[in-house]
Amino acid sequence: MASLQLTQLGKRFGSVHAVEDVTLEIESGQLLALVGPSGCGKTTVLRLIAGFETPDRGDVSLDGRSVLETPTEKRGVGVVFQNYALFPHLDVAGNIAYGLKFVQGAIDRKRRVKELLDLVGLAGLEKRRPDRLSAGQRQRVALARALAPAPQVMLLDEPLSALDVQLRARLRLEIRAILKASGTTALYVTHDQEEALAIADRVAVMNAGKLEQVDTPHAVYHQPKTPFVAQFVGQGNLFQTRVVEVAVESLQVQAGPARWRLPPHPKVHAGDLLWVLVRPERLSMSQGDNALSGVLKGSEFLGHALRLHLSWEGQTVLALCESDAASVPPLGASVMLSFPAQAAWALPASPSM
Amino acid sequence: MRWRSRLVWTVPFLLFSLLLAVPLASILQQAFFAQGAFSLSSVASVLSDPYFQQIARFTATQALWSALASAALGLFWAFVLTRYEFPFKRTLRALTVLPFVLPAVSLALGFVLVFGKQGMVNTALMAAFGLTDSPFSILYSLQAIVLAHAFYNAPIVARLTHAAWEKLDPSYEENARALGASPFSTFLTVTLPLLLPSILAGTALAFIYSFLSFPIVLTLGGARYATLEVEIYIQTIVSRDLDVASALAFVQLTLSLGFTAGYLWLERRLTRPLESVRTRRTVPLFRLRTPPHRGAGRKGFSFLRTLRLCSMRVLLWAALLIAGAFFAAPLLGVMLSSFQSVHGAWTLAAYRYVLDPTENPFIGSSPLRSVLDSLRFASGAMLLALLLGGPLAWAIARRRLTGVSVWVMLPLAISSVALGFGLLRAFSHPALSWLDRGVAVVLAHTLLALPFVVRALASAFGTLDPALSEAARSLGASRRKAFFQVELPLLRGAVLAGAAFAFAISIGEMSATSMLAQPGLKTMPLAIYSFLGARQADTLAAASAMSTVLIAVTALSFVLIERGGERAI
Repeated sequence: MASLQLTQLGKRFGSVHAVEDVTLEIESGQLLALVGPSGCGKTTVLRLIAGFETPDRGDVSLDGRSVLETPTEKRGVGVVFQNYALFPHLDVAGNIAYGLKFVQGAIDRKRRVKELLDLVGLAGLEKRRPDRLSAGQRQRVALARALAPAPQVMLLDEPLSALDVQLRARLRLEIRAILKASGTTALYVTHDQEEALAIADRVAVMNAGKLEQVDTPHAVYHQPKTPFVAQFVGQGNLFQTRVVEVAVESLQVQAGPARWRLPPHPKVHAGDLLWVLVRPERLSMSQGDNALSGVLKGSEFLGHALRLHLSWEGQTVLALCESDAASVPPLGASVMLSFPAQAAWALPASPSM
Repeated sequence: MRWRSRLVWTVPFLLFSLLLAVPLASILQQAFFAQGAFSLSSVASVLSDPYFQQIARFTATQALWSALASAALGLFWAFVLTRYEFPFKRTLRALTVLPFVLPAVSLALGFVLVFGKQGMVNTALMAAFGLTDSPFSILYSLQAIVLAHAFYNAPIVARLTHAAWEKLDPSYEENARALGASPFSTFLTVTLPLLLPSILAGTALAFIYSFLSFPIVLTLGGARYATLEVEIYIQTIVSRDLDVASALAFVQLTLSLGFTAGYLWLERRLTRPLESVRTRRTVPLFRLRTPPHRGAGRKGFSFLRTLRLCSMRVLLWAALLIAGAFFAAPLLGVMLSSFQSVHGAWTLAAYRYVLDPTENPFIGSSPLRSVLDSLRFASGAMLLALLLGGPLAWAIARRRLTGVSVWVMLPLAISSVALGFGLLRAFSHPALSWLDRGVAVVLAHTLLALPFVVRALASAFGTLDPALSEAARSLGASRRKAFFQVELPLLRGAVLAGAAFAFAISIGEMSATSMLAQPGLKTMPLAIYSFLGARQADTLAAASAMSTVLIAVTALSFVLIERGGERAI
């Protein structure tokens, strides 16, 4: 197992900056999810690490040693592709054993294949051809094949995107368990923020070729550093406010017609612009300190909750309420929502915003 | 690293370009610089000569009729393939590849044997009705040429149309029906317009191929009907007037390139992306009763309707049988006559004749030698075409070099006789004249086979997921190992198909080869042509035997091509 470092990595395709100034470290044995909208450059980062692409600038190193000069086959990376890329002319065992042929030193290939089949729960399917496997089984073979030579780093490129929703939710748990059992350092690329939060030790959010934030899933969700992260990860209501008053124990902001009291923030001064993030589940239909009153535009019954869409000051506000709420207000009604001060997360607006 | 991987395809590309440029340059030199200085006089005198104008007109006329006949026949075939389900459909569909690999001279021989004055049809009719004169005469006429060309090119129209038709989402037609259109007007206003690009593309190709056709016109046109291709051959081999021949070759090259450019333009203009979500349902051809869902909308028994549906079926069956006989008869005739003596007894004499190692007066070489020569040339052309075509196909598929992909298709667009003429001239130059003439033949065949090899391989490379090679590399395989252990095993079918194409095209090629033939060098198609020209019972049988061998090679290559995926065309 090794730690992986990316230093100021950059890659251009023609005039497009696919990856710009990406610096990132994954500690040994850690699982990091790289998440971002499609086209943000996350797959390019993975391909740069694997050696399928050469960076224009910056460095990729394993355990502190640069691997840029090392060809793919010597880097010790295991890759799980989006479409699995199982070798169609080899059976399951043949696919898993393929990488073992190139491992230096004596190993018992049969035993290793068996170990991996047990690990991914496919014992008994050794002789199956890839085209006779279900999508979920293919996924597991791809994982086993990549793990077989005991790579230093596992790279997973949207490994679940070809599967249906229910299988996806189950397999991400399994993948995490398998990766943790093998103790391999792993980079997991996905566009699904929910998947990223669920599977990873740490999450790196990427947008337009750049990293926006690298943090624990909890911090990425509850303490986003940029408005992009606030909106991309989970559903969020982002309000633009102006600081009115800064006190020791609290902060007052003007949000449209409303005035809210927030926890103190070290870096803001009266008159500053401030983004305020409130998650839908923290808004409730009640009167309170921090309130806003909007017009109900729609409501969705989700089973476990009721999602309200309100129009407020030209923006849509989402609120997640208990689904057994006694009465759902009619469309067009004015609805009063409020949130506790601790539920708000303040992001100072940078000059570029 | 980068430049090395670029070298992999640039070297074959330059070799190919050189191979193509030398004969073309040679034609231009003869046409414009015959007297040492630039002169337009050769080309101008050919263009203004009424005799050659007449030939050019006839070339275009027969090509037009051939294209129309191919379109009509091909459309029918496409309809049957798309609408109906029947045994051996896959094989029959794959048979559309036949025109590209079946030697035209064997087909021409079949036409002579079956439809000729002393042919099987006439003999049968005379015996049946006690006639003293042959009642049926179509050979050596425009009709014969058009018929043979239709045989050859209808499959191309059928192939392109069927491919588009099969993919055409039935929702378009169902929508038209739901909006109130009758089945017939749905066909006219929805189906046909959507298929038109493919039909036109196929017809245009049929026109180009008929325009450039050589063995069929030479054999079935007789003395009266010559096309530009045949005239270039006659001027070179018979009249030995190289100035006229080169001027004609130049005209022919210009026209054929112009047609092809027009075709490509048409294809680009007409293709529109269609969403295809659902596949089409087919109806079994063998069930005579109407499928239940058809009549469900009407109550009771409609006699007229049943009659109409039944007669549709009967008509369809009749048309299929006639078309089948038309396609099968010449080939069966060839095979049959190779095993029969003049008196109708079964014999292998014709095959003994073909394996005779002694000099034969009709072909100026021994029959056995011509068989061996053909095999040698075909093997050489196959190897060369694979060696050049493999890297080019890789570059086209992986680097998306569309320019290169158009460029390597060029041999399809130029006249083979003109190509042969150019090579003949180039190989008469002192710098090359020491080379064996067989080398020129192999090079010509390589050029002509290359487009097929490249397409077969490029489409296979294209469908091969690049992630497979990347997966192998991430597991520790070097670039070379990844290619040989993962990619090549998966490409085996396509490589075999490409090889089969090259071999079959080379062994059946007659146009360029006839220009390069010399005493002692006759390939099988040329020997067949000479045997056919001799018009003696034993030479006709020998021609049949050789043709049967060629047909067998064709059949074998056909099997390989079908197995390796028939996306090559």
